[in-house]
Amino acid sequence: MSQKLYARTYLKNNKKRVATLIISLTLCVALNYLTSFLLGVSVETVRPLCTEVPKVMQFISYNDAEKLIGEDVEYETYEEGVNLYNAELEKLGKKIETECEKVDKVFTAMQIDGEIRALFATWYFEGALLEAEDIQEYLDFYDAKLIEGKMPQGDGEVLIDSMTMKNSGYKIGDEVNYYTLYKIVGVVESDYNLICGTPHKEHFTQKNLFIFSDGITDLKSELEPIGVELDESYVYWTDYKTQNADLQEDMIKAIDSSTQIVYIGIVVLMCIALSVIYITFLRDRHSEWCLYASIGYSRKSIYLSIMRELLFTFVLSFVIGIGITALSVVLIDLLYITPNGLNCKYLNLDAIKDVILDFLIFFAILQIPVRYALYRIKTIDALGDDLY
Amino acid sequence: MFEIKDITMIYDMDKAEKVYALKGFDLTLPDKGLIGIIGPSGSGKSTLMYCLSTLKKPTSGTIHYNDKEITNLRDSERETLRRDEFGFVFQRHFLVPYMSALDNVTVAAAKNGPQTVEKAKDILTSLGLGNTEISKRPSKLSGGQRQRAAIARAMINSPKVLFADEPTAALDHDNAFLVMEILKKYSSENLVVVITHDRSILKDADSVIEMWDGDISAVKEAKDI
Repeated sequence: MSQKLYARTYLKNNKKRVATLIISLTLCVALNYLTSFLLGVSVETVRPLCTEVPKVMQFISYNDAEKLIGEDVEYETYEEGVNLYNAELEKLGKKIETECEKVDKVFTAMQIDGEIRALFATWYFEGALLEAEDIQEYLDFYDAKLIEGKMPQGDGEVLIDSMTMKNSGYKIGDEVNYYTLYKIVGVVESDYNLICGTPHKEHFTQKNLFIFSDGITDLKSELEPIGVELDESYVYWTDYKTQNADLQEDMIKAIDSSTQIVYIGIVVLMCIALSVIYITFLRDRHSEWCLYASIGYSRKSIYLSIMRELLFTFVLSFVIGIGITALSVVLIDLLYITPNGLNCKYLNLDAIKDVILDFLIFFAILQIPVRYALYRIKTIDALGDDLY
Repeated sequence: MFEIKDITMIYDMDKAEKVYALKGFDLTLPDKGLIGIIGPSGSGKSTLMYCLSTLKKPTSGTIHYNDKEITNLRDSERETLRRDEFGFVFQRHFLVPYMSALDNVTVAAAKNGPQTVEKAKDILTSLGLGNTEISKRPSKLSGGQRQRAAIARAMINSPKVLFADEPTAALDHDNAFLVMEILKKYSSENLVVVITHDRSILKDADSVIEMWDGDISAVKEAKDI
């Protein structure tokens, strides 16, 4: 074996200093990953609402009722107008159900909105207020089973899925406020967030179409061939295409920019903190390296030994950081995310890539003080008082 | 072993008032033996040692080591020479504080491995450091023990030339003579160059070079010391 400065001699004998660096780097791993993870909880909670539910149920609501009943049709009272609109909508629903091959069922019903609080955002989803006898059929499309309470029977009673119940903190008997109060009478188990129930007789309003289909992703282009035009200026509709676009635009972009700001902040602060700590350590070793240079070690040998020390510190920090982060993720999920009806994704490859990039940046930044320390190495003249 | 011709060393070359540390003299040093270089502070003795050991490059003149000119060597060649051929005992031990006495010795080894560790232990033991001491850090050792560890470090590569700069300056009388005994023993097969201003420690030297103001004022052989 040839002459080599072993990194382990320094690492073994300077545990406190090495630990300082390892703790700093480990914190960086945890901070970076957990930030992405927590911000991602909002996306992961809302994602099924935007990508799974719209594949089962599509929704159509007319903002301008006259576009449906005709602009020249006259009516005297609000109720008369609503009745005309609902009758036309019923016809439209039947037309879609019979003429569009992919459509299994269209419910024409009043709307109630469910709400999901997703840590850093709130997302709403549509549910139907139906006749009591239609509710079971409606639930079947969601593959939902009643697990607690009873099916809605009287006026203004609703069912909510268990995940939404957890998320909102509701329990059976509580009331949901959507223009008026609806009493929660049952909980269903389903893969999808859903709310449905019976309307209040006195709460009389426009109905909407709840379309259950076999995988329609673009409702507009599906309905065009049967002569149903969906125009954004007077129709609001949801399907996989619109919801996914909303998810990207309203949630993912916003979360991404927040993540980037936090990420850059962490990187800058860590660069400053690590550089300050490391420069102090390097300064304390100046005489040691001058001694090595005096007894025949080249600058390259000294540099390689510093790199081995750094590499070991970085790799160990990464491993410990990943371990601590994984444990934190599981604990956060068990103690907060699942109990609150939120969703999360444990493995975030983008966040791991960011952490690796952080480490490469830190490693590169620390080359500056290392190079300067090497430049300052002299031989015997520079040996100082810090050696015994 | 060393052939020195007309060596000069000028500090502050770019200043108007130049400082001559070495003023152009010739000197020959043998292959083995204990050579003392004595003189007051500022006489140029340390500068001479640094030039001989390639730690510094003289302003002019030549130094031949085993018939090879060493003043114009590249950095890597000088490093190799210092590592493989020379050993250093500095005035103030210069042990790395976080390393044990044993690690301080093995760190200088030209080759790493278990044999080196055994060799380092042997040298330390032969210099009077016990098993307990060799695993202690310098802060836990006495001045004499530190200096012996520093000598062991200088000897780990069995250098052909051992340079010792004021090796007894930080030691009490007993330890000083003990260190000189060790160096004398080593000089039986190698060249040991001792820089000092303490004439009493050079009583066993094979020759003593007296320096004054950057020049050699006298060279005394053993019989004249």
